[in-house]
Amino acid sequence: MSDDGYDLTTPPGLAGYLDDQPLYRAITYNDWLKKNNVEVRHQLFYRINKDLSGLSVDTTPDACRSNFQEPIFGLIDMTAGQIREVVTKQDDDDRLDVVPITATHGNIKKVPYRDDDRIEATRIAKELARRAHIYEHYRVINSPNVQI
Amino acid sequence: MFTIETLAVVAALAEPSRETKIKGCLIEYIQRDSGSWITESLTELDALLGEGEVPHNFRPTGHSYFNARKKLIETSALLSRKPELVLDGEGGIDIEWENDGRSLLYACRGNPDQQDYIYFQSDREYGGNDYTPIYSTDRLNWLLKE
Repeated sequence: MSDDGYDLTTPPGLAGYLDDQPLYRAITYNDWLKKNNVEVRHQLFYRINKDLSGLSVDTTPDACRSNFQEPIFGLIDMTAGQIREVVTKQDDDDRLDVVPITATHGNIKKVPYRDDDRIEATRIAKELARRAHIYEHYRVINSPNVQI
Repeated sequence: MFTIETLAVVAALAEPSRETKIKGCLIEYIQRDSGSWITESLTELDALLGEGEVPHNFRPTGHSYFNARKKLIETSALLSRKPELVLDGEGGIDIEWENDGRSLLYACRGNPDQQDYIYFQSDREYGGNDYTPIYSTDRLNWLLKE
């Protein structure tokens, strides 16, 4: 695999994330928030075609929200260390990583596309979803992002 | 395995927008031999196509819609547990069951060049393969085993 989703380079001037760094990711579809409002569905962590450099995360809630003009349905948070717990393949010591791209934006690395490895991609998505914590969730009432 | 009649019903229901008396009769026919959840699941599936309800870039493709519909009807004859339907964010539909710590997922992909697959996972194992009726039956048995 040679795409950017596997490039662990940290840009000059930025420091790598410590394991206790909180990271945020937007819930972009209502049904990916489970009805109990405390879990998310693993589909939130499928790497899709537009995720050229990996799965997007942000270091602050505001930075995460500001990426979207269309309504989002909440934010999840997890630490860099929790992401790094996830092995890339069973019985393998290799693990996911997360690296900064800008001062506030980062990418989860080594997540395969489902078209490349559908079984590991699905397992990894489920592992990430299991670790994700709902930071906040919204109900959309004719205007974006009205918190309940 | 599926009877010729069941397969005929699957084919006949492949046109979702056609609300006819015949379709109503066919749904009744399916319900006689199927889990009670099928009508509710097909309604949920149709709702995923709804304008306004689902963001445009999440909406299922016709390819995934018809494949999900077919798989729902097929599996409804084999188990009584209702699945959840979840959009995958790229035009596909995931059909998911949970039972006693076991998770079974049928991925109906958005594009014809993407192979539908089955994924299973428990505390002890995980894996998957291309969707085939034989593999489907095997994994449904795995989901339901004591």
